[in-house]
Amino acid sequence: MSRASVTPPATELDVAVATPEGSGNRRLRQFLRNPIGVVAVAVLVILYLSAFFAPLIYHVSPTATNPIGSLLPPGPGHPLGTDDLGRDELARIIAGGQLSLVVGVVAMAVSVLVGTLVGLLAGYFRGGVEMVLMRIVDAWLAVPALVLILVEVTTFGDSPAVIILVIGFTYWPQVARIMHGETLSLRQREYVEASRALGSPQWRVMLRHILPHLVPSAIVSGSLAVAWSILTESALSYLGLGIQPPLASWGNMLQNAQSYVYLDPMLAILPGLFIVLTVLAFNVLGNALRDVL
Amino acid sequence: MAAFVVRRVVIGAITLLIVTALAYVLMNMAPGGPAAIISMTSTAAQRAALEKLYALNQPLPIRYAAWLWQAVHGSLGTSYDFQEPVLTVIGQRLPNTAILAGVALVASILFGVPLGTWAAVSRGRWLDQLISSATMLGLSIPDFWMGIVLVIVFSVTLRWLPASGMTSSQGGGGGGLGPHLVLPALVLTLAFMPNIVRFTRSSMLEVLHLDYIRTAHAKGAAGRRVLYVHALRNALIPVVSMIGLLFAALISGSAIVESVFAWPGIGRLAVQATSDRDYPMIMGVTVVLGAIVIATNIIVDVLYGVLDPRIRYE
Repeated sequence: MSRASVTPPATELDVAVATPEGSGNRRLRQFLRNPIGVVAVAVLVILYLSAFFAPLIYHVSPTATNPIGSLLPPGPGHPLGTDDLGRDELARIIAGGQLSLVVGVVAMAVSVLVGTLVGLLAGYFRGGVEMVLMRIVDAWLAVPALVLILVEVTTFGDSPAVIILVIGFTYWPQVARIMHGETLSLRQREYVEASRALGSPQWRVMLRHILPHLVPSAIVSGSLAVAWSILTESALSYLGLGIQPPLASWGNMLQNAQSYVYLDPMLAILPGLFIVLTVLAFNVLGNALRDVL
Repeated sequence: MAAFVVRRVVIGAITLLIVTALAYVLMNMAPGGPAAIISMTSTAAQRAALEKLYALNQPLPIRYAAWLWQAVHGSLGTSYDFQEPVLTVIGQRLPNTAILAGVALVASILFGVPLGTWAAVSRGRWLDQLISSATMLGLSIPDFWMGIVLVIVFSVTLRWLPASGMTSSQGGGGGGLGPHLVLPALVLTLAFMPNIVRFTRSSMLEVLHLDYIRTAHAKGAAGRRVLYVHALRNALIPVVSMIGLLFAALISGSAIVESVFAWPGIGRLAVQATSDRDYPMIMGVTVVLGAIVIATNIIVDVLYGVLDPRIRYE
């Protein structure tokens, strides 16, 4: 604290450590100067708004089948054509977007919450707690994520709620590792030792002096976790083990499309482009945030 | 050194044990138990008979202990699907995955390390921005979709390469392993390489700041020599450890690519076993893949010390 005020031209690190929440405005201004980050945010805002508000304007059902109107090219009535069951492709892209975008965010919330909690506890208490928690993290990371998800889906089924939880509970060890490392270095800082020396209870030291400093890392991890979760949901649904038809998700729209690549390649390309756009935007956002936070 | 290896192996074995316990307990939490899944229309008596056949009527800890006892003695049970020992089926599929993942790993390192190095050296300039943007894009494309798009381009439109399988049974030209391997290996490489590029770049940037690099330049060593002899050698050390950590991701990627291209590997086996609820097989694949990932990480850790004498094993 005193270092930053005694020597006026403080480095960014000093300021960030001294007042974690006070410098929000400066960070926002810095973020807004990065055009690529701003574009990513704009893309995401547009994607989320259109996924949830487009159905108010576009009234076509995403699940109504039409056997005589299957695999239609784009035309009047069906701006993006129809799929193998004659369902409107645009309506399915919109409905799929709702699911994929929500799955990504909720799964991220699960993994960041669990990961931060485990990392914080392991890094703060050290000793036996750390030993047990980090061994579980290692075991989790030793199994390829997809195989782990397959085991979980076998057990808990494939409703959207389960898929969200399963994806969240697969990514948390990645977050826990980062938070563990951060906590280890934070607890060595002088102000944390000072607080402990003054007799603050453990929970107070953790919540007031360590947790706030984990927030920037949590935000960056969170942004990358959404990207990973959306990719994973789409892969899982593509394999037929994720979101089940007739519900649409960008991943399961690709499941049947592969059988029709000879007849209608657009069916396989369109949903993928939306996945790439969304995931790219979250990855770019994560990078831009890392530069600022 | 020997003590370190022993310690890592012991910790690895404990980790593997936790993996098996977690997987076993998870799978047995299925509502109705595993027997309910074998047939939805089964009567209570049929279910009881099945439970007896597969010893599913025992309490969970006893079943896990029995499974573990068998596993230690080299048997992972019999697959419901194949009616063959799980290890035999896995043994047939593992080499196919090794070919695919091996080619992708080697190609990723061969192309990824130079790309990452170039990006670091030209930091902030157009080459760096090009490589970094391509990397970011690569990390954002779902591997299965990249596979479908490449099939549309190279198999459907250009008809250059086969779209699926490992060899073709019809005979004639282009039936060999080579042409069948191109697309799956390409997809897996493009999905995996961005990780290597990214990590080499950041590792190289860190090393380039160090004093000994400035000393080398000051001594008058040629720029290229400083880069490739002095800097790259040290920058690659963390990259080696990263490859250990990313190995699990490579296997996950392989499972998806195998499914897209109907490549008869262990990843596709895992996906099929899940669809069919082949419990012994899912358990077997989890254990075998877990063991491979853990062993890889131990080897990488030991290699790390050989490459970097500053690391001391306690």
